[in-house]
Amino acid sequence: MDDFIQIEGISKKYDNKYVIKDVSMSIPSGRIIGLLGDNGIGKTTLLKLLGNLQKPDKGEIRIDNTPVNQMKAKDIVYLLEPANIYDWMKIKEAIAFCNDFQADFDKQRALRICLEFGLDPNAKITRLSKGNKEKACLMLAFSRNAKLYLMDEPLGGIDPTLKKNIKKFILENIPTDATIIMATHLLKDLEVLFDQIIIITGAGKIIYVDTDEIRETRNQSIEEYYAEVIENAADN
Amino acid sequence: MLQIIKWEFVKQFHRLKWILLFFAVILLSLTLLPASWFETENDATSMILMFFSLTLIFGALGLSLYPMYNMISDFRRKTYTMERITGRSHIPVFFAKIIINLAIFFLVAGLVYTGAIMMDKFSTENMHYFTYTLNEPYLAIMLEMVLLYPAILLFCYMSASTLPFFRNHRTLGTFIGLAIVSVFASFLHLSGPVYYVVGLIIGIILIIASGEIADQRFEQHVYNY
Repeated sequence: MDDFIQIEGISKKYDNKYVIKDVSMSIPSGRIIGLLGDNGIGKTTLLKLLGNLQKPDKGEIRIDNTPVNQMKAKDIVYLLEPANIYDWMKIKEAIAFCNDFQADFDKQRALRICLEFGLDPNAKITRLSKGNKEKACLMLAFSRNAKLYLMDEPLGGIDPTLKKNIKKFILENIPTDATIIMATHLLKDLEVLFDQIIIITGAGKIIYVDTDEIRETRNQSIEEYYAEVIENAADN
Repeated sequence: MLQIIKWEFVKQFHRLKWILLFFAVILLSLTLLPASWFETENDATSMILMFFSLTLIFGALGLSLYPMYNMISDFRRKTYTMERITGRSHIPVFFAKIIINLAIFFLVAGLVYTGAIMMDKFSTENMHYFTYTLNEPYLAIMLEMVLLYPAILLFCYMSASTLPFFRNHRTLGTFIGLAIVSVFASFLHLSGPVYYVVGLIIGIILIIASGEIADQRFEQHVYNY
């Protein structure tokens, strides 16, 4: 399978501190990838670099052989945080906003997901509960037909029923060749979801591994493997 | 482009609706109050009229500055991501904002004009002192308020935001930029049609340049890594 995402020697620093340093890796298409690491380690920065919301100080990211800064936004979905949505917006207005500007937005799917999630399109987003706000953001993301979905902690406040059915929900709502990269700490809930994981243990220290290899060769759960990697990183 | 303009109008409506409602209440109060109400001038009526008058003056002044804020409002940390995921280039968005600025200019002019007429009903020397009028040349004021000053502020903000030295001090960088522009402008002595043409061209160039910077190099502040 061709490499869908090619990351070549990227570095990013804030206030003279490297958060990402000389990272290179290739990611194929059609995978669901967990992005793991401690708080403040650079997960959000990596997602924002992939989503062209931040620019690397050095190096290049190519998605589908196109430099990310020349990508059309329709090819990349960056999951919104509830705080990113305008205070005055009702769910139906957020849907109309996305529908007006995103060529791949499927309004019918958005309304179907609202129904599935129990979201009232006439409800103001700021007045929803934390979990429903996150569901509204997921609804806006999964109503699109993109090649790459970038998600930063998407399921923190989501109810256990949806967490349990998230794989089915994702597979029903995105194109089969799409790639999802999901930063999360909810390993127990989501480990069945991931085909691969990326673990960031420090600036420039990235482990990229197949979850099948962890389960079958090492006979470990993702959570156990992650704990071992972080422990080893701390010892070094 | 029509969608962009539509959503810019919707955003401004939601941002300004309470302020506009407040002005509508004041203007309505001035309309409904009989002129005879002020015949017996006393401290209370003077204070109330003074309040109405000053509110209109400072409201109009505030709204005159709003077009400048309007140009950089999409770059707030809160809603930047929502604007960016649309994938729109910033250049048409900035031009849509200029159209909004024009609407706000007419709103301010309408507010000042209507306020002046309403206040005239209670006219005393004291009240005349606190009225605010839009002076000629109107076209120059319109050019500056709608396009030129907002474009200069936007360009200074974009430049400050993308220069490494000012990246964490954007406001300071913007004000330094504005100071440099003011000094430079003081050497130019343009008037009449030349001023309008030069102002229009500079405004458009700055908008396009700012759009290019915003599309290619702008980054939002990062507080979580």
